[in-house]
Amino acid sequence: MEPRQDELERQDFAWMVLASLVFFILVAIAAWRAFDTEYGPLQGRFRQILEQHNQLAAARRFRPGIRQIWNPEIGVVDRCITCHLGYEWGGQLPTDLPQPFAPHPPLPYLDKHPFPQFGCTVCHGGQGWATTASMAHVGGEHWQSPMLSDKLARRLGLTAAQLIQMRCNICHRHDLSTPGMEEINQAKDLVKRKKCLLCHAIEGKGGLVGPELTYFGDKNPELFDFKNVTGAHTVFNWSYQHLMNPDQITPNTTMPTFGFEQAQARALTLLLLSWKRNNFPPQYIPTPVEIAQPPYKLASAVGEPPMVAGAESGRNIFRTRGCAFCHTVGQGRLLGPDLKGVGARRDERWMRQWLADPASVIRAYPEFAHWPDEYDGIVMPNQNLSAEEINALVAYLSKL
Amino acid sequence: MTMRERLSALWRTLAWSWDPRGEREAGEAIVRNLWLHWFPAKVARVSASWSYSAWLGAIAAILFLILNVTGLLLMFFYVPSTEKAYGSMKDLDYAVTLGWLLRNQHRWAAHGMVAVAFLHMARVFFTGAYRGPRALNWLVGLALLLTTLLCSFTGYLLPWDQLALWAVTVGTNIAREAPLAGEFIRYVLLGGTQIGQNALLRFYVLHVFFIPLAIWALFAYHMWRVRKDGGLAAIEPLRLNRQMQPKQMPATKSYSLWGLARGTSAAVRSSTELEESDQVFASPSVTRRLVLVVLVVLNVTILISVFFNAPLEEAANPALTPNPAKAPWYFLWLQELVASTTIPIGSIRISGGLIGGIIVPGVLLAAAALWPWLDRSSPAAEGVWFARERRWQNATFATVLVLIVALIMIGIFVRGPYWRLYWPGTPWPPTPRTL
Amino acid sequence: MNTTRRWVLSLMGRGAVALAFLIQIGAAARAFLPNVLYEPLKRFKLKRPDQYAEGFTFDPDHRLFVVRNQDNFHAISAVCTHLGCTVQWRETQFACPCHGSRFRPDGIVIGGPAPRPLPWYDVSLSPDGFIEVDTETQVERGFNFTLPKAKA
Repeated sequence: MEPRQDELERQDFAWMVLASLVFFILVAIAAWRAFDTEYGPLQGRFRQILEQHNQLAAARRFRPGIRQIWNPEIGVVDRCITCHLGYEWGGQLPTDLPQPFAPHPPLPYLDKHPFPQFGCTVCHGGQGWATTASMAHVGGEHWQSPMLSDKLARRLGLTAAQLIQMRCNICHRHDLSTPGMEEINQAKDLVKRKKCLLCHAIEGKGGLVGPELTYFGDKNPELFDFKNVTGAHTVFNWSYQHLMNPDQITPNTTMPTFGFEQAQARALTLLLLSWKRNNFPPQYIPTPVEIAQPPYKLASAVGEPPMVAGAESGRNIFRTRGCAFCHTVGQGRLLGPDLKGVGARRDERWMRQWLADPASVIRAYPEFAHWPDEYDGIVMPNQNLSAEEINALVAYLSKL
Repeated sequence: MTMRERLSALWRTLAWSWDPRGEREAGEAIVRNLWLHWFPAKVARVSASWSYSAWLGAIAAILFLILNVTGLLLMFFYVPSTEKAYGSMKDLDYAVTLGWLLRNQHRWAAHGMVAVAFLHMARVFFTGAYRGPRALNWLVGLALLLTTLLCSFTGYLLPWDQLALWAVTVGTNIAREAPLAGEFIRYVLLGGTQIGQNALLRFYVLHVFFIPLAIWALFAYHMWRVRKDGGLAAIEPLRLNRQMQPKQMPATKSYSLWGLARGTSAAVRSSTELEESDQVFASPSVTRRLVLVVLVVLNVTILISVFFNAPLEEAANPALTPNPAKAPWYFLWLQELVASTTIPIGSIRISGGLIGGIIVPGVLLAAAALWPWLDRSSPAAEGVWFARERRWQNATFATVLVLIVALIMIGIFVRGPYWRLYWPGTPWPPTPRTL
Repeated sequence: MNTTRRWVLSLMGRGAVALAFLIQIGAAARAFLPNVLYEPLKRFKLKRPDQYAEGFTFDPDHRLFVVRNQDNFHAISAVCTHLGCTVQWRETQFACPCHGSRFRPDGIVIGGPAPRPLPWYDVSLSPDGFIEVDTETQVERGFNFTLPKAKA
């Protein structure tokens, strides 16, 4: 090329080459950081685990990437399952797999809290949006709701299973007692026995001597006076120490010293911290267990109707056409009478007429006219059975 | 022709402007190129030097370009709704490939642009480059500074976290202190009496469209004025010392913005009034240096973005004020003033918001705007760093600058909870937490 | 610096920048392919098998019918193959309220403008024992998922 007449420093050129190379390196670093994800190798490892445990179809189907449970009804965006891939494999993969692959422990109430509806953070806390372990579990300096881990629980003198009850009770607050929430149940019992409502108003009822406690769990931590609190400045510590020794934390207080044991004070602290507002739709709030029991037996509580040799189809009809929802065989009355021994009580002709049109039998025979009164005013509805179905049923019922 | 020759010829047709051969091509490269024709064909060597301008104006413009590109991309992911904004920020950090880089680049480039704009203004002042015909451009520059600050401020609210909500609360409450119209201004800005969905949407539309549009328009005018004024003020000492006779300029052939400016055609002045030895061809000398500056600015932005994350605090909670609640750093000096200038006169307390928030910056702005006409120094003081003749002016400006920076530093590093002073080394009381 | 070295360095520099821009464009393109979707899953868990009665159960959230025949399950889409309205189950057939398409219980078209039969979706059991339907995998008409003996 021809020599330039008025060129600026030739150094410009050298710097430009250097800057170009640095630019390329920086872009490469950024791209590497983006694609070298924390969860990538974990997902590969899980696929191997699936293969090792003979879950070949699932291993073949496995697609890498971020996974999330999204439920806008309760505002859940949980990406925990990106790494905690074994969560739904309870029973199929061993429970002693190393974290994060271990299946969720098979708790009896897991069915009432299905994963697609509840996600993970509702119970466990943590930052659902995150896709790295530290940001998901602790969330950094500005995340106020860390995962309720073993480590955190130990620091508070509890186990993780006890600490999690704090979150259970956010929804289960109105249960008198809930299976699986021993500490909270104990605390609720204490609240009743120690008569906290004499001085504190909770949900509109109670005294005005002490502060209202309805949403104690939502109170701004900065509004507590930590002057006399030992240890970390947390609401947990404040509440616990205040319950154990009110006068030390809030001098000259009217609150008596109840002489709680440490475990009791911790349970009460869990209860207090669980009193938070939530905007869950009603279908997510449990009906209190005590109130929900119907005073009568449900069909699901009784077993299957008995087998009768040679009357398979009749038994099937009994199970699938709805007979079993109103009649048991030998397990007591549900809506209609227990049909054990009906074969001896009624002949085939009677059974055929009844199954074809129950109301006609009531009308035709005066001795059965009182039946509706005995059965909550209900006459058995006509099931619109076909002739074959009636034959099969009669064959079955006459053997009972 | 062989394939190699064909490719070479094709490359030539595409790239000739950036790599001209000979003087004729060098001139045409500028004049015939839409992107390059803002430059004159020849530029004074000193104008393009690092030591004169540090290319600060160019750096600010490049940062603005980065902001535009990253901002446009961010618009595909961010949702300006009070319910969804925070979640969309979290998604950018975790669920969008390279979303974190996009967001970080945007944030750091924004802070950089505000800082560089200030530095550029300081450079222009210290080199006395606002005098004579350049006074109008000085005013345009002030307008650019204000719109840049406003763009940064409107963007600050968008993440809808605690930092955003309360910084804007402090900022808009300072605005409210303006006499007579303050309350109304705040009401219109927020679309209500509180910072809520209306405020978020207004700030969003201002931030992504109207203010950038204003900046582009002002920027275009700013650059046009530079050409109209004959180039950077660095050429003025050269013109004083020239041996060549100035050419008689025709008064016609002048484009103006609504006829507000008068004068001669643009590019002609400097190149005919300066010695040839003082000049270089814009292409490739200046264009190459510009590419270098672009690369360096990009490098620095990416470097900082890769290693430092943009902050995101807890979701906005109007019921809980963080302790302390601070304005964005470029307004911290105002917050310092506001916090300490409440004056009791007899039974009346004049609010610090009025004195520190409106009057002081108002006076500073007015002084800056009027300075070109208050400056009585001779033409010899133009276009040189720290000209002796202007030393009192420079000292005044430097003092104000240092004070502002000092107040900002105090606001960042020394102010703690309850706005008490916590000198470096003194730990803050631990923030209470739930667990 | 002689011309050849200059040319090489220039090429390196420009090459680096070009490559970096290509990476950036690629990255920007990749950023627009969502990694997570705020949509219902295509493969999802429903209820436990014993919570399904015999016959046709309509699931409005997922627009399909879960059909139970004792221990056999299959899933038929409730999205009309004409223009996408949700069909209704009427005792003995599916009927679409929009343009009157009618389908047999197994999804075959028996009337109306629908061009194709209602597709059947893959049904299986999730690892934790829920009926799982995969709307991304179509199966043949007549496909049935039978509960493993332990569940029955």
